[in-house]
Amino acid sequence: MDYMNLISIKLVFYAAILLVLLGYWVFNFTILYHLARFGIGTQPKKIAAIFFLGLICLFFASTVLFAGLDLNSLKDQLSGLLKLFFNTTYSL
Amino acid sequence: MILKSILNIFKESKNHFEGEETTEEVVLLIRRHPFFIIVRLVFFTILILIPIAVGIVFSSFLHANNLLSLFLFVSSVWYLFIWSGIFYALTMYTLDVWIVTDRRIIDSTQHGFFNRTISELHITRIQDISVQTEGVVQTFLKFGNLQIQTAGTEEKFKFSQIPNPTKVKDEIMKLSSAKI
Repeated sequence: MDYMNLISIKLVFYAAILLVLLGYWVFNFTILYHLARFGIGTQPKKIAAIFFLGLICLFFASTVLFAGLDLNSLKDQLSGLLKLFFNTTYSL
Repeated sequence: MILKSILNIFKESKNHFEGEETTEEVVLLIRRHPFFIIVRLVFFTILILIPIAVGIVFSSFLHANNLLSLFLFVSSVWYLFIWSGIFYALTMYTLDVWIVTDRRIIDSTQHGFFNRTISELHITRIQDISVQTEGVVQTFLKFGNLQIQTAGTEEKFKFSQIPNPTKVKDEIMKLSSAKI
């Protein structure tokens, strides 16, 4: 069986997003863990609470904005953008 | 009841630390002067302003090329990473502490998430304390370094860029005198 046929660009794209998300949440969990576990006094706990609340709000906003993206036209938009930046001819 | 106990950790948490002995009392909990974290926060503030500036400058271009939704998404991801960056800096600042108890001095230095150095010095071993304030910024903002010389040929114990080093020195000397 040719396994390469199963791997599409879309699948690689989603896998990459999932990998970045996983790394991002592990990093954030480590921040929260360090503040809650090793922080001395009330200040680190307050910082951890603010961090967590802000993170949830920002992540929600990012998810909503990602859902609003038209992934089919994204490829055309990006190629148009690249063409605009790298194929521009300058005249003095 | 559960909510109340959760909220209590923001109010009632004493300055307890790992390895604290029974009946040991924390006298001082010292962190670096806030100036150092404020400098970093200013840098992050500049990073926060970048997407806003780009949005204002290129607003007509983004509208014309139908790139506004993509720009907003990229900006939100940018802010997510900045948010984590800010709190990473705050974590390192918060966990970098000097604890002065009635028995010993503990220096806990955080070099990264999984890299920490903890040094300890018993109050009775203090021989000499010196305070160093260098330059205009340190003089005006009242922060500096404090060095403790211990008995023998051991390394000096150093508190770097702490606020009010003279007051800290007096407090440690008071504790040291009481122990001798």
